[in-house]
Amino acid sequence: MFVLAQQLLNGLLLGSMYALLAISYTLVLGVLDMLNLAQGEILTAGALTACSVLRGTGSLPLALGAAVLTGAVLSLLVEYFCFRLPRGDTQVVTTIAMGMVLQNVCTEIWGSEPLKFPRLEWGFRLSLGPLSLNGGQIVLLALTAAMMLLLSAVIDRSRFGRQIRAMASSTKAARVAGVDIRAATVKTFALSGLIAGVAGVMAGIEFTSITPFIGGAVGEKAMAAMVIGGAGSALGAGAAGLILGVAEILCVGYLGAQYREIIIFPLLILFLCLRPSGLFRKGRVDRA
Amino acid sequence: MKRKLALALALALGLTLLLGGCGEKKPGTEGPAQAGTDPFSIGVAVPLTGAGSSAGKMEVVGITMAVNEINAAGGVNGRELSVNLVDTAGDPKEAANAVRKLVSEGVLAIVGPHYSGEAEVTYPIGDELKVVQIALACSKPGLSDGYVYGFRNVAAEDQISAKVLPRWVEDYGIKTVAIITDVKASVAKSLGEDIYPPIFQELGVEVLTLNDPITYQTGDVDFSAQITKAKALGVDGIALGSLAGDALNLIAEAREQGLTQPFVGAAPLLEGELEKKGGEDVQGTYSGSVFCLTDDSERVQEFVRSYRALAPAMYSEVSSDPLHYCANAYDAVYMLAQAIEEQQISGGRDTLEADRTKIQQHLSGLKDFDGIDSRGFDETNCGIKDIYVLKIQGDQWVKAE
Repeated sequence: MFVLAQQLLNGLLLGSMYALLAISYTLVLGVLDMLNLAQGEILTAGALTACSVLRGTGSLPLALGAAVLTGAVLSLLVEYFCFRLPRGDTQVVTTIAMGMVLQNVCTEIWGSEPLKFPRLEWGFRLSLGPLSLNGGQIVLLALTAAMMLLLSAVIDRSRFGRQIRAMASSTKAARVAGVDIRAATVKTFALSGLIAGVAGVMAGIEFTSITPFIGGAVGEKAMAAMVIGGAGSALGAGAAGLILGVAEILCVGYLGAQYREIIIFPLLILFLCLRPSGLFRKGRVDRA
Repeated sequence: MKRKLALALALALGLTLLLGGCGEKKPGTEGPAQAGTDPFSIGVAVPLTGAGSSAGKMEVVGITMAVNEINAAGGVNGRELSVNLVDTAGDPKEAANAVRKLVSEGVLAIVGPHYSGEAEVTYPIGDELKVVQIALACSKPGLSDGYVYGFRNVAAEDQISAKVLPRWVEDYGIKTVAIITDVKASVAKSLGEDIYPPIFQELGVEVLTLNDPITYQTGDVDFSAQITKAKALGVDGIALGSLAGDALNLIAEAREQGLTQPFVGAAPLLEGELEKKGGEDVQGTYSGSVFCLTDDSERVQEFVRSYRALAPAMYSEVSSDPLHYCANAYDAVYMLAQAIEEQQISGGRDTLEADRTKIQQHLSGLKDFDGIDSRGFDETNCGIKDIYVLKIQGDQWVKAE
């Protein structure tokens, strides 16, 4: 019983990572209808930058700031080089190329071996019977919940949210209605990169060490979570991320890691056959 | 304004790429060949990008050290050695391409590849094209058995584990053990599934994961499920069929979940600075190697000093401490130089095939080589090596004595 409870908790923590990154995916895909496959590498760059800053200064706020800045800047680079500059329908491919460039630049700067993320002293701990959560894990869970709610609210209620939803329906109509398409696109990419940067810091804290290759592993699952959640829904992406995390941990804990992909990805396909519009059937984005 | 911004962004990206690349200098290109005599060309196929790049670069440093030393001392039979370096990216497909490329460019022999998975693909190619490969980290048992031109200057993992596990079991009084296995990496999988269990059984240690194994895959980032499962078994110690990067995360996660049991692994654990990055978590972790950094012999210490002098100038990001890979690569070059010298290799285009065969014959008879950590090759083309049981103490692997 204790083992099951601990595994569920492990699943929620891993799922939180997927959820955070899935939210950053869903902003760009679900809302702007653009798929950025370099998102995992942006998370990685954020995590590695934070790791270096944290080692140099010992300050978490500085590290977080550096990661967020890295994430936002890289996301804007992706927007410019992969979506704005190329003509035609090559964008997804160019984001893959961008991801590879980023991964190799990171390998050149930080090497290919894991970088130990400094262990932080949080000064608080939560004990639930035999289960125990350290400060970083509490922050990760809280942050994920906050991001899900906050971004849902932003997309649903704010003026910015209305603008990007209008663009998702029809760029032309949005332009006619007076939406500054460029500004809204840039803001969305920056926001998406910022969240990926935050996710990078949390990845460092939760996984305890970082390599330039973590982006691929987390990115795949996060993308699956975004699809399950229903593109454009922050709540959906978050919830699906948590579900995927728990499913993965249970699979690894009770069956073995070799069966994980064989079980999880067919489930994804089955789910999409049954609920093509995602977890929350009424998608948050009204598509024309 | 927008154009300016675009230009600035492009410049910034270009600069990043440039800066990333400028830490490297190509080895073996120092100084032209002596007039009228072409240098002997040695191929090197190791990972310079991707997951194995740190180890691959360390190997290139070792090779460069040996080549520089040999050339500074007048070369081999009066001619210099030159290096033809190709990146395998640690990927079997790329490694196969690299070997074919080097062979077509006329190298006498190849130092590399790095991984067992690569060698499984490149050894058959080497036998087909009749060119020697001296692999550097391929420690999967039986890997080079049956090949003619495929050598590996490493000790196989079964030999290393046969020394390390009994020592670990004795030192910690282990009665029950859990094995955590990476089912994706060739060498790690064979450690966890084929090598450890029989050794433990022979030692009378009960393996509690025999029927319900604990597994993960290389590149996984989260190990909480595996550690929770191991914790529930309540074992005396944990054996890792793992590469070093994953071992670091596994051990850190174990300490996070409150496990205090000792860990043991094999040669792959020495890669990736586990001892420096792991801190308190990894103290007392056991492994084994053919090379010990803290060996007090003057020869090893001289090797370490010259590595430390050269490595930072070649690759800013590689470790400041050489690993066995580096020594294996360094020795491999000296073995080839010895073969070229003693077999009177002419190095001409027309005798290339015969020269390559002579090198193969020389290496297969090599038993008493006096290298940093190499003595020659056994009948399965596997390296003859001394094996040390090592443990982490402070931030170093030291001999477990």
